[in-house]
Amino acid sequence: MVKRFNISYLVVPARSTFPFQRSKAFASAFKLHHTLSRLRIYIPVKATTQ
Amino acid sequence: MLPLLVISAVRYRSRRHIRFAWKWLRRRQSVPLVYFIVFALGGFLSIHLLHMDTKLYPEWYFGQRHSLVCMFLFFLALVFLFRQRRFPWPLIAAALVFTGSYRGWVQLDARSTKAEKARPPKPKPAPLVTWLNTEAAKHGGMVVALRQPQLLAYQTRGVGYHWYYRRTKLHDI
Repeated sequence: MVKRFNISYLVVPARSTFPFQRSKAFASAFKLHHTLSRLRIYIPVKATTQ
Repeated sequence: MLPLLVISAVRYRSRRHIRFAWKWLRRRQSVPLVYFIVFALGGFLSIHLLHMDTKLYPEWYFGQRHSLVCMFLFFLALVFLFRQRRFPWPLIAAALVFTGSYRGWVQLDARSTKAEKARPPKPKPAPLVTWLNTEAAKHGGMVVALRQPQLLAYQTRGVGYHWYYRRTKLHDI
């Protein structure tokens, strides 16, 4: 899924929860990398292992 | 223009002129000009009739961009005035063109000056913009998935955006 668009980061507003964040696969696909002024920045798990 | 039209209509009310006008109207070569006149009249009337709903549009549209369709009739009116052979009418047409252009230029200049003076100082870039630019410079370019990236994309360099929506599924991220 990460390879599909080859994204480096996923930026999500901290106060809202998007439907894709609720899926179980999300936790295994992305991990929290950084928080920044009411934003959560996730990094794809595969990218971190490269 | 209306008074001039009335004067012309009174002056050319003879049967000979009416017959000539009717003949001119029925000529095949006159069709484009007749079409243009009908179109210009329609544009002018649309501003005064269709948009005169005071509940929906309390302000008269004549001073708005919606009245641009009136320019065709104004153009015809100016041509009509310029073609008059008697002295004051071409002069009036020239005066209308020059005063209209001058007033338009002055208003444009005043508005642009006012807008330029009222422009707020350039805001400091948001922390996310700074972070994205730093990361992009570090990685030599990157792609970021973001909700509504258009709000900051113009401030970043070397960052590609993948847009997601509220209903976007995980496999589309």
